[in-house]
Amino acid sequence: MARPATFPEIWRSRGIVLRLAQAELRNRYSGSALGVLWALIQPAMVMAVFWFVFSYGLRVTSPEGEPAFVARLLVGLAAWFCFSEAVSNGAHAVTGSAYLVKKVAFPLELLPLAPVIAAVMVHLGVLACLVAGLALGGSWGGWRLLHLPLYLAAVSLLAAGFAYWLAALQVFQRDVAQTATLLLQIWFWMTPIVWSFAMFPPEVATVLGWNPMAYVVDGYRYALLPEVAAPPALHHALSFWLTACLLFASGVAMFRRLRADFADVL
Amino acid sequence: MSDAPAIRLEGVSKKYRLFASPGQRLREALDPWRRSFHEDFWALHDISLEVPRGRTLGVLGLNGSGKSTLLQIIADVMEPTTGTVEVKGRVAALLELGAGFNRDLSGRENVITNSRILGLTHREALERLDAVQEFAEIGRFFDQPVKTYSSGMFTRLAFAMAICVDPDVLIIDEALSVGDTRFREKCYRRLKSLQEGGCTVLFVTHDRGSITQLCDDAILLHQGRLVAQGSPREVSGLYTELLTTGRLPDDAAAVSVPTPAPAQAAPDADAGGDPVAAFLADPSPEDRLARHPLYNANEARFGHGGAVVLDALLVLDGVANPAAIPSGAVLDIHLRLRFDAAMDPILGVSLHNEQGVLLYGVNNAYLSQELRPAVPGEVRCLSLRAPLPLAPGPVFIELAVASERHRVCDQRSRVLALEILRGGMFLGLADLGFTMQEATSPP
Repeated sequence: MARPATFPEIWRSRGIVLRLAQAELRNRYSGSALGVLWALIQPAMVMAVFWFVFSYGLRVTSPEGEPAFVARLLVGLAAWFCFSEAVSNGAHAVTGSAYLVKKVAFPLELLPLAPVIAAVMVHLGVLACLVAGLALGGSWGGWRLLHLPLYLAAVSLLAAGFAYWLAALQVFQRDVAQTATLLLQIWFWMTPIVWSFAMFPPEVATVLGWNPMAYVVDGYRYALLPEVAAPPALHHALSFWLTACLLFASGVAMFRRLRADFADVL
Repeated sequence: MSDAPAIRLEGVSKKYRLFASPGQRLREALDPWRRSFHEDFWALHDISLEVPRGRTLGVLGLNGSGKSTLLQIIADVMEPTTGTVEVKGRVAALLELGAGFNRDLSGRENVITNSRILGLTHREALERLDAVQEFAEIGRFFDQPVKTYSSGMFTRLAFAMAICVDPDVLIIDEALSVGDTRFREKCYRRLKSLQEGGCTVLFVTHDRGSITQLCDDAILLHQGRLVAQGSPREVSGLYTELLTTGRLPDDAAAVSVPTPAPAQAAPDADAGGDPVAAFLADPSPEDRLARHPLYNANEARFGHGGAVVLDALLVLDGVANPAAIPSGAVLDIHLRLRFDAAMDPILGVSLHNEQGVLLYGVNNAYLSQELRPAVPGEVRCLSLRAPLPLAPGPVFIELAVASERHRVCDQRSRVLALEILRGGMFLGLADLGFTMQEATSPP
């Protein structure tokens, strides 16, 4: 669709986004014997490797004592995988769908949402396994689990914001997705997933705490691990939601400004 | 007819911005001072057009004339730079030989996704799957990834999908030029029934025959402007002229065209009123075939000399050198030859189609027509009568003179080109003129 889509049009097309998200998943694993199971096997394997390296190789223990380092690591990894997958696939949302941009009238605003939704669908599977695993290990979050949707929404919104920005820019400059993948790796190590704030002097920890993904990871831990005492601090929560909303709004605005040229360039 | 037009364009222009690199485009889009980093290219100028509901409009034009841009704008894939576009109802578009197919997904999944995008519910999409599969006739490939398809299969599936979603407006951009004749005829039949059901169709093709057969109206685009609008026959006549001469008659700038003769007189023949008499009376020994309006610059010429094919005049219903003739018409061909040696000449004429298939070839010996011996320096005219019940498409004429010992003097292959327009419906290369009736049972 050449002009910006109106909200009713986007709403009417919501079913298509789900289809595109499903198609993206099915397409990624088409031809493999295990199919979509790979979407779970891959994060599980990476988690196992991290677990082995840090718990048995480097013998890292949690400075906070309980909960165990392993539980903190796995929960953090799960949240991060969802984010990084949504962002890195989101960068290709428009360029990978040239067939839709150029051939059919379609509300293009929906395109960046498909990879985000696909990542969240996988993430729900990972979470289900994780919650079951934690429960078997004697760590059942109970009512705390009801906080999970909030943090799931948080990670989705943040990822969608990035997806809009990157998908639009990627059309014109193909280096964008490569750069994003690189920055994501740096960001991973900046986020308290394999380490924790307690390992740093307080001044450093304060600075690192403003990382929006730190809020997400801490939130996941609060929701899933009963031993974690407190949810993320209020000022971190406020700054996260402000950042995420601004990023999303500016990403959508940017996308709508550039979209008229998509069909010309692709 | 009906109340409101299905498609209405008013003052539509499209400017492409040409950038040195995609990065420049981004820089311009985001430049805080709105500086410009591009050059303009106007693909469409001020197009105003109305297509009433249920009508079929043929769009003709040379490559680069703006046809595809126009269709993309009507299909709402591209935004016009200026002007307004109104299209009523569900639009199914086959733009540039394709549909919005994801190459990695199967035909089945693509059809479902595209049907949903075109506004069907999931259930409706599933209900129509069988019809699409049946029409496309691509067998087991329906469940294979689209990237494994041949271009013919791709088009079949795209076309089958487009017509099975009950579009109000159907846009076909050259999609039917791929695919075999049998499928094409099937598509034409289906198009007819869609037309009867009130579907508005926009149709781009280079097959002028199907324009005249399928369309109610036609337009001609040239360099981004709408230069003619009228009956398919008139407009395709103009188009043919544009194709062969590279320019339009001066009065064609007017939107409505006068009844055009799809013809142009031979350069020297229009002086004396009757072109045939003038041609036959012309004693010039000069080789003028290269200036013939139907001359094909890619002719293949071969020969040992002794005789030269100088010029030709093709006449249909009093019109000299028509670039397009309806299938089944009878063409008069007049040839002027020069002989540089004494011989018992053999004159041959043959026709090839675009693929180089010999459609028909004959010479005076086959026709048991003895030609009188030639003397050196003689310029002589010969006439043939040629019924052409051929399949629509380009036809190339070969002219050849040989001496009595079958030594080729001058053989000019593909020297003239003309277009056969669709007459009656048939398959194959030539209309053999079968007839059919109900058999009456014996008493």
